[in-house]
Amino acid sequence: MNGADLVIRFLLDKGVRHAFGYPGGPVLVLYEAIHKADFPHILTRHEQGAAHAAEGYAKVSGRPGVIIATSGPGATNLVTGLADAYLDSVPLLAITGAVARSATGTDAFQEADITGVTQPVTKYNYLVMDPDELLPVLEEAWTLTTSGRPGPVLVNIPKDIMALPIDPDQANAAANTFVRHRPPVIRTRAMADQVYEALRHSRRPLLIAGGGCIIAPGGTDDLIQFVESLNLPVATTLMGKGAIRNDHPLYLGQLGMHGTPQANTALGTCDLLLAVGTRFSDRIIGDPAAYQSTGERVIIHVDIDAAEIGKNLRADIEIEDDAADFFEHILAARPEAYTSGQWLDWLTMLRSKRERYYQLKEAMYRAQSPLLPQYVIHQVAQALQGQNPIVVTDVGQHQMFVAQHFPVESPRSFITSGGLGTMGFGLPAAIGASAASPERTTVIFTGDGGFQMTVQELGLLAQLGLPVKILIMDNGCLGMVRQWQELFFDEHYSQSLLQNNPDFVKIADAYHIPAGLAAGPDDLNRQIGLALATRGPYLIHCILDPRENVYPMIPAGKMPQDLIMPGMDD
Amino acid sequence: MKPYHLSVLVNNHAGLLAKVAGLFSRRHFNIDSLAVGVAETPGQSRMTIVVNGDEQMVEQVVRQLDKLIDVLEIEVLPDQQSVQRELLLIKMSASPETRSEILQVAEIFRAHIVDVSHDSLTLEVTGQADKIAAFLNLLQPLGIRQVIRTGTVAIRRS
Repeated sequence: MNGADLVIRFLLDKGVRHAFGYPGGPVLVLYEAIHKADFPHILTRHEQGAAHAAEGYAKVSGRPGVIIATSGPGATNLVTGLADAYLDSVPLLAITGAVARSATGTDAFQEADITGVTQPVTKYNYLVMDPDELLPVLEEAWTLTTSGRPGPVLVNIPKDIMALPIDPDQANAAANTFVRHRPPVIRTRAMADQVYEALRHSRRPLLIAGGGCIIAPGGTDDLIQFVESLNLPVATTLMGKGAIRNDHPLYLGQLGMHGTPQANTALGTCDLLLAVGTRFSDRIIGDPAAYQSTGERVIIHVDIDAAEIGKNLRADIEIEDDAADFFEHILAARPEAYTSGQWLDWLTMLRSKRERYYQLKEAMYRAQSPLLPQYVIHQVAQALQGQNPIVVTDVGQHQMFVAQHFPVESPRSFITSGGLGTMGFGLPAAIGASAASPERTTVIFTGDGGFQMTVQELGLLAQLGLPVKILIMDNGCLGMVRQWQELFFDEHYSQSLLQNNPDFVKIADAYHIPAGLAAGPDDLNRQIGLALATRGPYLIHCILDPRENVYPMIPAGKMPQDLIMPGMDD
Repeated sequence: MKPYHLSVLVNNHAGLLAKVAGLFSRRHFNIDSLAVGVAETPGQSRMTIVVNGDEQMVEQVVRQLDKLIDVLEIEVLPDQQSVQRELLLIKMSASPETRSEILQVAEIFRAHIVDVSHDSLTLEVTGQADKIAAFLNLLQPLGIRQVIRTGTVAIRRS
């Protein structure tokens, strides 16, 4: 057994059944081990695709996504995916090859200091220079991907270590020798009384459920029980979408830059903010200092990552805990004769806003040619209603439209690039997501811009034959850039118009993927029917009205009450 | 804004210094000095980091540092209950006119003469930051050739 065999055996022992990667010189020995062990490796068409596919897989399954890439350019191509995973707390294990130890630092062929390059975008990374450390490093790296706040971990292995004979028994004995001290954390149990006391005095409370509520296993059941027991209104962040069902009477929708009027009103005027598993990014609160200084408000911040507490907003009650633990313990700690504060007026006001917004939303689902993006999303959502589809987006206008108009039916079913906003994320992530759950339909909405950034992964999709239905939201421009240029740059559409878009149906055809054009509502509805009746992948090229902008919208750096929503008069 | 002294116990892991330095630069924390040396337990080092900021920033620094896997313990040392020292080596031009004055200043500050030549004097002094600053201030007009400082190390009083 050599180092490479040990790596593959390790992955198999961990139950890895999907690894996304791309071979190259310094990992040839590793690919020989893959061949010998008949290891389930999936060949993407670019390393960035491997990283996003692994993210999609991890986001749906909750298990670490595994990536394999070669040294130098192979590893640098992972950087965008690692940065994306780092910001969205996605567990990834990236294994990269490195030049032989004797050549390290000599600027050898395909050498790049990949631990240096990836240091700021990984939770942790390793360069294995001692063969005895190979297995302990892999064990620790695997644990780190999911422990605490999940994230990407990279293990860089020189090619001579891959080829070195390794005694498996000796390696096993050393497997768990890395011991890391972690300080005890402040758990919910000790703080529950304070939370209930704050709620007792509140008249206008709001719960924000962030991505942490999705990530923490089983977090959402207790969340729903908690809000129902207190009649507490709840809003989600983009990453928290799916934590509670869309038509729940206490759900206000998504908050932040393109969130709903009712959620943002609640955010702006609440007197108690209970935020769980969220980091108050600038897309949620544009001006933290102004937000903090206006209004009397008690902020309770629950997060597994203590460094997120107090980073953007100062909290009055800090609870370092994961979302699932928090909701479990807060429910258990509820005092027997507890009566929460009186906030019926508050709920009534928020619900009337919600009613008004829903009317405005309905009016957006107009059948016209060229198509309206809201209509396209609505029609697809209707066709898939009750089937618990996996919904994937790329980045830009269509991403926000999907977040607003596609009711996600369960946690881990809305797959999007939140923190980094990575164009090109969608297609490979959809393939990884579908690989994790091939019995469900995966639908991906992607822009004509983002789709062309990782379009080569159509080859992988055709090869796997997964049920991924692609909707290209073609408005002939980089829609979100165009929208900002229209609103804030005097309609100077600088480099945001894509005037020579290809025939996407022909591209799909070239990759042997069935496809059709939807220039208007009739085409669209027929194509949706065909897509869902077709086994495996299908692509619909939708021709959209390029003038359609995303509303509601809070301009960057503004307050929740600065929300713009045409037709919403109060 | 004031200086805070952090005592950080770490595993001696390759690349750790780069990780700590990288953390400070990418989060825009102002680092005044960083001194590192082996600690009492083999395989571990202790860093003294002096950061300039307010309480809120220092709290963030501590929490971010704590996320680094190789960071074992962090202590923010209270000014009054800790001892802070820095070592300064300074090479002075020493002419017959200035030599005696340099020696006088050295004596007042309990500096040692560690090297001497016909036209220079090299002095060594330890102390808190304000003592070092006062020492440098007095020597300034007398012809400084080179200054080497270790950065502050600090330890909590029992």
